[in-house]
Amino acid sequence: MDKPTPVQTAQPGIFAAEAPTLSRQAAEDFLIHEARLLDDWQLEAWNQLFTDDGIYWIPLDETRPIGTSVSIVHDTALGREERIFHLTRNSFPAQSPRSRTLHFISNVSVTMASASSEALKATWGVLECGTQATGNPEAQGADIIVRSNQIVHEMRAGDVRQRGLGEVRSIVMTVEHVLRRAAPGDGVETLRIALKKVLLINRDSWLGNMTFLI
Amino acid sequence: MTSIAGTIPIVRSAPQESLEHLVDQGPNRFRVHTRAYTDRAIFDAEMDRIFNRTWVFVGLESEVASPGDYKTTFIGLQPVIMTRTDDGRIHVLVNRCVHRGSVLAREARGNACELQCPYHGWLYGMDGTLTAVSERRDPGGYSDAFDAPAGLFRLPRVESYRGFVFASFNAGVAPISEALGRARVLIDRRLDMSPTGHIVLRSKPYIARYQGNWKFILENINDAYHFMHTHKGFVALQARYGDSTGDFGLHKGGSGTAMRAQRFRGNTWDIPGGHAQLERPALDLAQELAGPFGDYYRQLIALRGEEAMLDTAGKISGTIFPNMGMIHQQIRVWRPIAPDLTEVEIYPYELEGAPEAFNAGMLRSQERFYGPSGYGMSDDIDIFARNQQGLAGSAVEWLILERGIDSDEMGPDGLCRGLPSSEAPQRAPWREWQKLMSRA
Ligand code: FES
Ligand SMILES: [Fe+2]
Repeated sequence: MDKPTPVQTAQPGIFAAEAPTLSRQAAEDFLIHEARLLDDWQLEAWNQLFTDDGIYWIPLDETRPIGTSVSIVHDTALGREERIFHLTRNSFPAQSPRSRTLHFISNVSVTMASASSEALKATWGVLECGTQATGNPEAQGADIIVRSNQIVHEMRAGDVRQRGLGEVRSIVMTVEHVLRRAAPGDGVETLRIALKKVLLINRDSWLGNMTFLI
Repeated sequence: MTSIAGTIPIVRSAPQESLEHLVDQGPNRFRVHTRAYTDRAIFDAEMDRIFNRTWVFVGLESEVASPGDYKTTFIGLQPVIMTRTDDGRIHVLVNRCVHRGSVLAREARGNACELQCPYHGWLYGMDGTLTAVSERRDPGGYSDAFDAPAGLFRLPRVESYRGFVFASFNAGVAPISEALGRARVLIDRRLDMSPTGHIVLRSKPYIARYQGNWKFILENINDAYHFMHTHKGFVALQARYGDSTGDFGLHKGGSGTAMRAQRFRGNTWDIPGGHAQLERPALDLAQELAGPFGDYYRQLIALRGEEAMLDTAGKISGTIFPNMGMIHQQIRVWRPIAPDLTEVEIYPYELEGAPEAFNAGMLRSQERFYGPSGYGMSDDIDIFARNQQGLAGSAVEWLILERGIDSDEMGPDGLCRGLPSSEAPQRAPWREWQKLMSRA
């Protein structure tokens, strides 16, 4: 697969080791903002949160290189564009009627990880992106890793008495966001998602309809 | 001493009468009764007369590659274990301790030198032989009068075809190769896309459940008719994104018209034994030879000859009655759980010796179409729930499976070829179903 190009917008030096980490409060603000965009089906706006080379990934097996394993979702920028086009413009049975979702976010933690961080290297390795994807090589600084536990409640309306509709399902997951700054500053608005990795608690069990964004 | 290789199990609750009237066949007539998809008693009879009597696909030899390897699965409702013993043989055992019933293995796969029941500690070899009864001679234990069982229930027939393992509770079934008949073509062509003729399972499978009857997926895999309708949204997506997002040539033809033209070419097959196929003409070989995998295709031509290669590289999907199918680069297996609940496993495989990028491309393509967040199979699965809901409208008694029936060509050997969008592949499993369900 093509190697993503490093994010263009980061400025050299802003990830210096002494750079302040994102506060948990600010990280939560970001996650709440993201979740609201998803729950409101503001999907184009949600896509704007990603870096140009950002990846939205829901693995089936997060330890196996994607070259030898299917994922539930493995979306690069073009993949997300297509997914959003399909969800918003096409009519198809699995989203007729559509899913409603509500995200609940908890257990938020923030850590910084340098490009040489073993955990991050392993993740990029599995994604077959190489380590150069961990931001501007000149920055030598850290990516902001935000981990959270999330529950998405989902249901499809319509004639809720019919089979397959009207049930509230819970999707239980750990989410790892690898965030970068699109511009200098410490506000939430300059954060961009380089990777959103979603580990479903039941990823190796049977899954139902997952044709909406989580 | 009870024999370790058991006889055909009986589902006591199943009705005993012939159920052949649930399929109404005649000249230009092929209808299936609603109850065949909805009725619990008929479902029980299916477990008894189909899953306990025919060959059922249980896995690949490579899933239990080494001595001691095991894999758990189901035959109908019965939990089973496929094991490999030190002598290299593969056994299929009912996953139930013959003492008082606990399952022996709960991991999906593993390696062990013996199977010990966690409840009271009875011990079995990997071939199912009972090797020890715990505390046998202790006070209140077993005397010499004890009629000890020989071991786990071992299925009397286990055979494989090109590494695909089938098992049967019925000692009297025909050899697997004969039972497959033309269904062998499905396995042959898919495997011959590998220069070595082998496939490799490395990815975990997708597992899905749907709220509908198990025959819906059996009918759906070879259904050329549904594609332009159920997958209308995908067709629109394909027109816009084509190959750019990882379709990898799975659905040729960017426009709806081109895809329609592609769908309605080739043959359909209704194969004795309930197997079915949908076969489309070979890909544009010249284009493939000029493409990024030209060397791979040239290698296949050198190995198989150009004519055979044109067949091999054509599209083929098919089902092997009652529980497995192949489409794209996947093995699909399903198991009935209840009349209105079915589980489906999709095993994406890789072709041994094919370029890495080719195999990786095929995986991305499966994500895009067959995964739970993909743009294809999730629609089929949604339709299956709709079907089951619709069948509650029992005022309508029969489902109609007559498309193309008067253009089907029936051969003397019972092998029937239909035109490309004929429902011949949908009729195939029902012919076998009727035969098997007619006897109690
Ligand atoms: S149930 Fe297995 S030893 Fe008792
Ligand atoms: Fe389909």
